[in-house]
Amino acid sequence: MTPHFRPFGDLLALVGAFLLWSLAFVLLYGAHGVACARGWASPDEPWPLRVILVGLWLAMTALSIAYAWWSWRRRSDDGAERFLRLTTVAIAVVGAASTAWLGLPLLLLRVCA
Amino acid sequence: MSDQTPGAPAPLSAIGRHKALERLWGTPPGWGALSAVNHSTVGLRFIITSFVFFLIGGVLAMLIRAQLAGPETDFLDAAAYAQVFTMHGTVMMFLFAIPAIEGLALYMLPKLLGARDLAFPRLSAFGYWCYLFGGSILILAMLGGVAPDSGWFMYTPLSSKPYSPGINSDVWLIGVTFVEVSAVCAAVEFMTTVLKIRTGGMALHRMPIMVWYLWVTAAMMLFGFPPLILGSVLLELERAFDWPFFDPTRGGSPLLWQHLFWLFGHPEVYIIFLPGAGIISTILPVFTGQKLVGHAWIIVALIALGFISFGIWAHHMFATGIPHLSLAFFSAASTLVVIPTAVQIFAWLATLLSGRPRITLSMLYFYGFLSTFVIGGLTGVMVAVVPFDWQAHDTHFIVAHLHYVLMGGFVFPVLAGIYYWLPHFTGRKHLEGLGRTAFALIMIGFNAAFLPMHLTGLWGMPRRVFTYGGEMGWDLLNLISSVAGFILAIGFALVVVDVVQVARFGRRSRRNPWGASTLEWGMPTPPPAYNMGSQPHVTSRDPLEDDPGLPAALARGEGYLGQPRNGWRETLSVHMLSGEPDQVVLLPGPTLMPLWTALATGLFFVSFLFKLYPLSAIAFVLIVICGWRWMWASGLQEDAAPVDIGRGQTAPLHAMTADPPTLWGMVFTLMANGVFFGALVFGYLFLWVVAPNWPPPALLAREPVTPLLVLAGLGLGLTAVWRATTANGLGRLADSRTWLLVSAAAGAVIAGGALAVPLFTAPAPNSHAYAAAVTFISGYLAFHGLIAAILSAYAWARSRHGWISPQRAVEFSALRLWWLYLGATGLISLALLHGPAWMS
Repeated sequence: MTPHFRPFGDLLALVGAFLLWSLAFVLLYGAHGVACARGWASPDEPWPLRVILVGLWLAMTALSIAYAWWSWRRRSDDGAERFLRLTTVAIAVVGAASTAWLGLPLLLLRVCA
Repeated sequence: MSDQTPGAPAPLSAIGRHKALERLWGTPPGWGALSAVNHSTVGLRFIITSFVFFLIGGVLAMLIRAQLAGPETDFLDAAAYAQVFTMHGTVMMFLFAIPAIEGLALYMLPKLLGARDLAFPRLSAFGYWCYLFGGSILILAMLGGVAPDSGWFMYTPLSSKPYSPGINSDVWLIGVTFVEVSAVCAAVEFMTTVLKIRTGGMALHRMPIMVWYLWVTAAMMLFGFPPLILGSVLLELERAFDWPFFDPTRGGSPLLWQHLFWLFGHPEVYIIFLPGAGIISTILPVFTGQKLVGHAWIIVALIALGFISFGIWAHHMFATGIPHLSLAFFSAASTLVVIPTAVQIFAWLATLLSGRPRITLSMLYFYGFLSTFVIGGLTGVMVAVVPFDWQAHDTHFIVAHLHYVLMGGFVFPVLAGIYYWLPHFTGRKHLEGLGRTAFALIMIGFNAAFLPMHLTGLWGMPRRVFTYGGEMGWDLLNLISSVAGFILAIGFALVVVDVVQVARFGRRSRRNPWGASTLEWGMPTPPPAYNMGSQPHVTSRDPLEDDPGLPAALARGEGYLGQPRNGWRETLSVHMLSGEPDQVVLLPGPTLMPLWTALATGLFFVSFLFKLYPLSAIAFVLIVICGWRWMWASGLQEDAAPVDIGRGQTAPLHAMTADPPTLWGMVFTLMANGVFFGALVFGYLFLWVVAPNWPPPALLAREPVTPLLVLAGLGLGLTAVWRATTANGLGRLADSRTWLLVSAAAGAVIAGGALAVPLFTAPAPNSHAYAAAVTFISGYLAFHGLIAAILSAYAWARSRHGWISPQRAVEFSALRLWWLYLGATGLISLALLHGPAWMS
């Protein structure tokens, strides 16, 4: 029996968690780079920018966790489909952890130094 | 195993089948060899050529070590030394490592997948010629004394015209870009092949682990190479026409080059490492008699590694003044990437510990790999930490680190793979004595050469400096490194001697001498051009373990497609997930078209190198003609019914299906193109935000004509191509052709509207990086409009010949994809081009 499979959708879902990680990376790095280059955050008063960046980071982490939960709910018991779905779940969990790790320096360093 | 379909021709004997298939799949003798498209032939050409370049790179390394053996040596002067170290890095990275991977994948992928060839054999051959010609440009330049001399990563402004006025940097930019064309072709080929060209029953979870490694590697190549191609094109435009993308006095930035280079450069490390790791994951279960521990987790780790490795490009830029917090993001990613790497290492150790290892030559190289790569990995963690990196940056510590990573992570696994697959390549058995001596020399030579460099680096010895004073205290360690470097070279020379003598004089090997379970060992060795007499139906990852009689059954034609017919080169294509056969792909036979196309491409690059721009324009037209003829020879000219595939099943021919490999080839080509465009957008915004001397002194003239022309072309073209597709589906072929002509005209309108920007409304492109960028973006848009027009005209011509029908319509699917891409990038381009002028 041919399993339920959408080439674009399911292959994208397989790597979806790391697409979110990539988006988080680009947003954090890009927003921080632009803000610092444009002088939108003084090194002496970094809190508003830090709050925005931490907010972004937490939002992306929450989204990644939600994605992992969604992946878990889509798992299947059918041979090839089971493999694909479980691998998607595992990658989603790893991806969520990676997104959480990515933003930790926001809590430790000065923003535009 | 198989059921013969009633009415089918009488089955052939195994010998008869062999002869018939060899006639179909073989490469013609003599000059006809130039027309080879068979994956084994082209793959071996890649592998052998890459090792020739490896030897050239090795000789260059010897020159470096001879120069650095003692203080104030005058064996090479500074200028010659600069050429030598630049060429050493360039040859090893671009002409050896990546092409060796391509060659291995070309040769091995279809065999691992139980297929007869790759998805696009002509593309493989084209890639090989591009590689050979591009590499030859670099080597010929070196022999002529005009080799690149700005370091293998060609940092601006050193590589810019004022500081490198000769042809040297142009040689790098043009030669390497030519070679990169080959890498992108290979990536498209491998992505499509793994997804579609497998044997029956090979569901995703039954693919050999090596295939997963090669698939992730191909995806990384697809996304990693375009930023460098963009960077190279921009730098060549700056050097040739003074478009100041990297000149800070006119709104450019040298840091843009570094970003574009390392967007490629860091993933490149993993592109090189992953196939090596794939070899390890393949041979370890064979030589330990134990299934690979953590198979599924390794796949998860691979995919994680593929992504995270792109998030660490700036860890090569820690010393460039980027804000600390930004560096910390890259530092976090750099430490993160260790985890999926460690998952693999622990999985290998667990496999080793739970099995009973046989100490073969391949396993010795495995141990060498493990110890060396772990050391390189740990020093990698050290330089991932910003404060340490600042101390070690651009010193010999980095030279030691990168060689431990690349020799450990790539060269040693490749040597393990060579000895593992040598009986497969040659059909002959090797004796281990000479190989073990070579292994000992390589391990001793390598460690004695590079371990001391950690110290010389920490003592302050910089990279890329042609000599040093005796008072620095670096002389003894350098002497040790140099002597050991020559021991290493002797070791490699012995490997070459060993492999050549095995290939020439070795005793015949029995099939599958190691008792492996994967399909590449299920065929005669050396393999025939068609791989297997028939394609198997697999039910697990270990088909030869499940059924040791499988090779004989396949030779008897008891699998899929065991009955040659109609002079077709047939291979199965499958449902991506389940691996159930869903079509039969008819592949092209030997043709000189890849060679002609590569020659036309070479003419384009060489004429650009020598600034013969009219000749470049002629070469471009030749490339278009070759491309047209290439496509024209593809596909079916009339509808065909589903055909018998053996095992009592039938399947349609690929041209009669909705998702033939061609379509996936287009999808992946557009993905690579999208990355190129994304890097272009990034570069433009980066300059706007970060580079000095912005905003530019003059913007585009604010006028509605050119953007409206492009918008009208996009709207008209998208509408026309959809109407043409619908009309073709309904069998109204004349209507369909009319809409195709409209689509071609719309493409021409877009090209015209985009070209009008630099011609009439933009400031001179050499006045400011902004003007150069808008000219480049306009050119990109015009080029894609022109291609849309050509593709539409091509579909029109095929329809007119009656070669397109409602059932055979892949041209429409591909054309719609192109137009969708053009629509998306066209709108973004319009925003980038005209937005600032209208908002100012």
